Amino acid sequence: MLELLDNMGSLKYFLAELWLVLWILVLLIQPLIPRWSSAKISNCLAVLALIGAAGLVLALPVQDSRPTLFFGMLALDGLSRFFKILFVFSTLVTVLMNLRGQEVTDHQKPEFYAILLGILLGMFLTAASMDLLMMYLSIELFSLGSYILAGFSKNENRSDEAAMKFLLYGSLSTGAMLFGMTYLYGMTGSTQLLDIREYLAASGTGQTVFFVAFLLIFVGIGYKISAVPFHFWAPDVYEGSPSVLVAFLSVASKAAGFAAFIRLFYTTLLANASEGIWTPFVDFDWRAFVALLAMATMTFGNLGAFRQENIKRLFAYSGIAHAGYILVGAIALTTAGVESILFYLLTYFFTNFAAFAVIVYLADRHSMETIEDYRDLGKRSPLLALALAFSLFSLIGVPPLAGFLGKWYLFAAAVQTLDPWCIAAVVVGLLNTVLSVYYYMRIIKAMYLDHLEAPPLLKPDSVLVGMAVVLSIPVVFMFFAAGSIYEWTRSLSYFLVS
Amino acid sequence: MYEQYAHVLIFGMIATVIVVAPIVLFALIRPVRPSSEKLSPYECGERPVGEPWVQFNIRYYVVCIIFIVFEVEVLFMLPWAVVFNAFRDGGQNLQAAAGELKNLQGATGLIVFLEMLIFLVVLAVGLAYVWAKGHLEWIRETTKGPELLD
Repeated sequence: MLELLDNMGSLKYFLAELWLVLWILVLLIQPLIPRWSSAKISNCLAVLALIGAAGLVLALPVQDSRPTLFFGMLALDGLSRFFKILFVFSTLVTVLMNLRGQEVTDHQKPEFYAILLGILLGMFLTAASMDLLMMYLSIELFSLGSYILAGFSKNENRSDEAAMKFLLYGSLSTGAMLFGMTYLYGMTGSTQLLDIREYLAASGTGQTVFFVAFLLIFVGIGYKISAVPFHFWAPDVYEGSPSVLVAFLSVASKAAGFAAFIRLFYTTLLANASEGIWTPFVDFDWRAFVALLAMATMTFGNLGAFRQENIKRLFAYSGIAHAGYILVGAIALTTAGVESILFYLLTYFFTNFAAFAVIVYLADRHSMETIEDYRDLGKRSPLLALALAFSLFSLIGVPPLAGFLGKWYLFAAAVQTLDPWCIAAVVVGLLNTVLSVYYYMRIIKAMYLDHLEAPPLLKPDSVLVGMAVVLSIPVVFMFFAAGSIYEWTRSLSYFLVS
Repeated sequence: MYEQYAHVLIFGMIATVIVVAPIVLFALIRPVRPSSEKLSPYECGERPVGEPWVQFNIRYYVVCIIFIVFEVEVLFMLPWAVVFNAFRDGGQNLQAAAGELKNLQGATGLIVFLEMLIFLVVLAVGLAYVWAKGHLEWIRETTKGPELLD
């Protein structure tokens, strides 16, 4: 069933990545030619590049044989396909939000897009990597790009601070991850995930060193998904970075972290025994460990959001809490758990980008970033307020919005295992959902119940208002097609060892 | 199952003792007579000039990065040039060593040559970018303010 493709044979499945490399080079050259150097042309090039990449990803064959590319470096399976689709559309939405933005100035745009495409390339590789070195390099590729873009507002001290904190915390946690990977390599003698899996299946029990190794690797991945206690960077980075980048990070970076998590932990640590239930090779209880972290992540995320006045900081804590919810799906250790993670990330994509279309519009065009600034938005711009309100209700998990469906599948998958840790995590998750109502409702209250005497006018911006509306349509109406969308994620949830 | 880690623990304890013991011992027995000569930082025997916290021109870093790019290029090209000889006849000489060089199966001289060409084009784009942005010129106008520096 497994098929190793050699380098030349792999290239035809690697076209999307090669295409991205080509456009990164084009976007670097474009501003150097005086006649082509306008921001409009870089906008067009970036959109073209992403539409092409989306086409190439969608055209990847879905087949029963599961080839690994470049002698087992990259996987070509449903999981990588799902995440690549998610990443490429996240980037497309981010570029569209940035078309007329001012936080990233016109002469910065070509560089911004080139680095953004570089991040996308790194995420593509992360979703597919089947080798520790490949995984480390691709995670670094997209992290380094994010560090640069976080400091892109050069005249703002906040942005410098964000980039600095992002870089320092990031290098520490990826250093810890690399250290863990060296342990794995030292114990098993291979960097290939499938070889490590074989070793652990044969003699994984009774060796404490594997617990240390996976703990250290989880530090790096936990940083990417902003799980407690590796979440300290999130509020400062979200507050200081350009808003479009925050929108991108909040969805794509988190999804990339979960891609690495599923790929690494499910491939190496678990045997797919029967009926979709995965059993661990090792005898340390990492389910309990991740369950505790998930509960802490939800609780600290929600408590942290309580007193935030800046809306981007609030969304940072909201993102932390949601990382906790998604981890509940990861500890179910069932195929249904993996499916529900993918489905949740899909609902989170629509919900968060719909909210961020509004946030980017107000922060970028009007420097409105605090909850106080959002007062009376319901009258000043009914469409934007409605879109934001729906996505906030969806983040709370009010039925029948998309966020509710996502949480439903996640918690259902965890409860079905009847494992005490999973059930405890679900109970804490439900309590946290109730907690989160408070701070999401504060924004809604400001928008609809606080009235201003003479509210300042908002400049119309058809692109961002349009995007907020278009993205919130699936948030509201996903209910009607939930079954078939879930079937779609189910069809893409298979990966090399499942 | 933890016995195997006892070695590490013992090693750590001995290392700590070897570092800490002389410091404590010498602090107890040595005379303390500080003078300005003794307290000044050691700078290869020279008399220290100025503060240690001087500001460097950021352009040193840019030049340094450009240098590293070309150094890595050479580092990568050297093994490529050594192996390239074996590919000129379509890789027939490689049959014997195919077991070890399985990554190279199916590659011909042209493909191997093109691979390096692509690598060089990517680097050339980087060089063109740096050149056009003016990072190769050491003396630059600074009257335009911070815009020029990005």
